[in-house]
Amino acid sequence: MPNGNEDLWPADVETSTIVPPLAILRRQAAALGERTQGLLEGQVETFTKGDEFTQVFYVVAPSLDYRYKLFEVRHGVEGYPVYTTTEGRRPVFPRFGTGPAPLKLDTPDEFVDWLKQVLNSDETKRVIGSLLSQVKA
Amino acid sequence: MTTFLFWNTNKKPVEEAIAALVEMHMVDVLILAESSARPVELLERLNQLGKQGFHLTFGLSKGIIVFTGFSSQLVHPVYETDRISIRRLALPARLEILLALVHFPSKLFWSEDSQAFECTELARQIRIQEDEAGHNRTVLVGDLNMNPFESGLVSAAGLNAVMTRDLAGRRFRTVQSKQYPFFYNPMWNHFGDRHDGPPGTYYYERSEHVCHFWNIFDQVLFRPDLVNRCPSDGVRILTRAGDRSLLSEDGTPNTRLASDHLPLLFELDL
Repeated sequence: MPNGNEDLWPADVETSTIVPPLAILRRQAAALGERTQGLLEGQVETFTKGDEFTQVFYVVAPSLDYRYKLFEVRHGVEGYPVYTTTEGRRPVFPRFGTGPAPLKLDTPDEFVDWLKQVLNSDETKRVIGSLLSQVKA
Repeated sequence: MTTFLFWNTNKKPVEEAIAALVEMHMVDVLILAESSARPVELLERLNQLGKQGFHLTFGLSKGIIVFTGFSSQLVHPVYETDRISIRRLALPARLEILLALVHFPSKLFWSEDSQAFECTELARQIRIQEDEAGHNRTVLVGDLNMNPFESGLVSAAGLNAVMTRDLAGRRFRTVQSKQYPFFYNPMWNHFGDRHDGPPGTYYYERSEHVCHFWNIFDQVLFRPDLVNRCPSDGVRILTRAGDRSLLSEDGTPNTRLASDHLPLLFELDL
């Protein structure tokens, strides 16, 4: 007879094995610091609105007291799909606006592939290159 | 007075018009959006004016270029995106201010709702930079691609920009127990034909039910702490560059010879 004091949670409740977008972004944020010997850093900020999560990726130059917003992505509580735009700029959830068509990334692999493209894009190289020059000047 | 000029040049080859404006109004800070000019060549042209040494400042926002009539080190960017550049301007023996420079996406690509959301994010970033700077002396200037009466400009969580100095003097308003700081938006004064200047900065005519014809997409907003440092006639929409009119015969921006936006000039006593 239940008395209301039992633990009703399943025996196998544990962390999901799917790598969340935030973890992938934090890894790349840390990698930027390693690659530039700390001259530049990556930074990820998370904002929530209802059940939407927005992850914003910044490049920071600590010695310049400077922060550049490189891109942002959005996702729900489950983590995937991740929504972004082809340019990696402000993403638009399907129910919003008339902006660029949202890019839907269904799996961690698809998200990693997209992220690799963004981090290797000419735009990212321009930002990183200019900031490193400025820091070393 | 420190004189600022903002112009969305719409990728037009208007280097000579820019030089004429800088010379005519003794501009100290030149801010360009959608410039097609090669920055170094424009810098050389500005320095041929001879009155002061111009400098090209560092910044990574693709659509925004800033030249100064003083050391570029005095305009230090602290936060940028591809369309926003927030900079600290600290001139010797003058008040330090934050300059938030903006070129928002066109209505051709973004809905009014999306533009309003972007204003909320911009307002948040400005508050963060004000906290870090330890003051609220912010000037926001740019092509917002929105009129002063649109949600992104007037909503509390957006830029919270009001039409009179008195209203801005209240400093903030409270909505749902949260305080939102005001901006003063002097651009409201520039609508219509009761004054000498043009009725807006951008003209757009289409055969559809709602059409404002003249729009004021190019705006400058001041935090309350700076309102009294801008003279009442200290914000002007310009229609001439030297001896050249920027308007067509019908009084709208001459898009054949110059930009579809008119330049904005403002002065601040820092």
